[in-house]
Amino acid sequence: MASRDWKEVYRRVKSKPVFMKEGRPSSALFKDSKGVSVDRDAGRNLNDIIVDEERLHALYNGGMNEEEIKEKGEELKAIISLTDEQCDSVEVCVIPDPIAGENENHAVIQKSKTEIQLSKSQARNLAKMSTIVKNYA
Amino acid sequence: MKGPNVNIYKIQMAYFFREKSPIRTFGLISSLYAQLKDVFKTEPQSLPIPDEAPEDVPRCIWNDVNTSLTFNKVRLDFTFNIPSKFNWKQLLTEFNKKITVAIDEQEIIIDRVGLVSELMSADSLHELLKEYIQINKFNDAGEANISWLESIESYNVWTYFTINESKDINKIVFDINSLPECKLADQGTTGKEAMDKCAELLKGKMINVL
Amino acid sequence: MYYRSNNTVINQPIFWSFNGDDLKETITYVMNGLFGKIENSFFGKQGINENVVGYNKKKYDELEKVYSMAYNNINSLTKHYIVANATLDDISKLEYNWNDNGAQAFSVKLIERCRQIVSQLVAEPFVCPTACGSIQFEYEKENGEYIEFEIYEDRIEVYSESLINGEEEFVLYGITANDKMKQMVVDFYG
Repeated sequence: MASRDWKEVYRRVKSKPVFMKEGRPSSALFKDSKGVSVDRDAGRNLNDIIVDEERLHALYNGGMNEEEIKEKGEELKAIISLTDEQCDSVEVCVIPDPIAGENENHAVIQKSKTEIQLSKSQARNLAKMSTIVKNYA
Repeated sequence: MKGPNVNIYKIQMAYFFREKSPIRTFGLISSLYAQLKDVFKTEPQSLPIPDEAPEDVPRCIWNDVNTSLTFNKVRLDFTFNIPSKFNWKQLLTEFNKKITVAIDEQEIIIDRVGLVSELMSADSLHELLKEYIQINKFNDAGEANISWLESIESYNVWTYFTINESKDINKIVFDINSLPECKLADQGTTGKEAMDKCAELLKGKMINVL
Repeated sequence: MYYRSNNTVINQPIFWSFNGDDLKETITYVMNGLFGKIENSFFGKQGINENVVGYNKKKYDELEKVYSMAYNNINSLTKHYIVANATLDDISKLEYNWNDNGAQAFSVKLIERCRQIVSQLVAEPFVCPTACGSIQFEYEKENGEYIEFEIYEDRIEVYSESLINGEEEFVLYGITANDKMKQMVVDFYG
């Protein structure tokens, strides 16, 4: 088994659609038929990770100025993290999926190596266990 | 014809007060609170209504997730949803007792009662009702509403069927109420007895919905 | 003459139908009528008095809210959950790739189904989309009990966590699915 270059994975949460319920993420944030998109820490410190997540957010909202982003609810609401142990505890697979020239640390969380969509129980548990590392309020 | 397989989802009990009854809002709230404080997890809200306001303006509302009570100077309504683990008849009997104790404490006379119940059908009502009606003959109507009345002793028993397959609405409502011209107190019947009678009639309808 | 429990007189069996907009209009109409009555009764007896309910603008506005709420509850089995409906509006506007991961937009049919369900629920759910094509309704209690419904056009997937039964998962199909979901919310708070 290849060694992991990460201890935590990070996920950006936008303002809209609303996925945060009373300050906590909903399980719906971890329901994606194409796999849950996250970024590995890959040995980086938290500040660098946050800066990079903000860069990625700006990149995927390219062409929009700050006002347009706000109007469309595309601004960042939070960045959340999950540890390796937490992912293992619900038996999900984190599969590195670098996007060349854009995001070398990209990964997807899947139900297993062969099944993509998480079970409802996995999604719910990840939502409960996740830590909010930055809240943009 | 096979009757639909139904269960009661929601019940509304209505108590109509004798005309020009002296309703003391705070007194009635206090009596109701003493009886129902364990039923509601919330507090009743008294509405700041001047005495001269029309009689049908609500004087009190008391809402919780599965229960709701409101009264004005004409009537008191109590609505409750029925969780699966409870028997509707037991709940109704218990609530009827508590509410009528509170009303009696305030020396308010009940002249009439009504019991509205909403039933859920576990089957497709349309399929069952095909023997009686053909909805597709109502032009392009998306919804069919059918109702009829039966008079049983001194009570009206209305049955309403609503079928809307595009919106997945599939509902039966029974509205059982004592006749206004047969004032309960004049007949020597209490509000509690009349509501219990409505419940008996509803039980009868449940056995044979159609 | 025949009567219904709402004390209205009916001369013959009727066909009836009521939708949300009609109800809103009716409530507004009734409220305007009531305020007219209150206003007239004060005007006739006391003239304009800022301290009296009905002539104090702020109090008047507050009362209108209370009246509307009360009438809404008395006259209607339909509830109007503002946040849930606004969220459904937002979800209906989501375009392809709304999650930056290729998620599809939501069909009008699914949004309408969700609106229909929302109007019949006894408590307001937390509503959000999923990137699996469903719209999720959630309820959670302080004791940790939890229930979520993933609504699709053709089914409702249910997941719950209760103190007694632990985790449960199943699917509701057919015309009675909405009613069963409604009952499950009643049971959740029952």
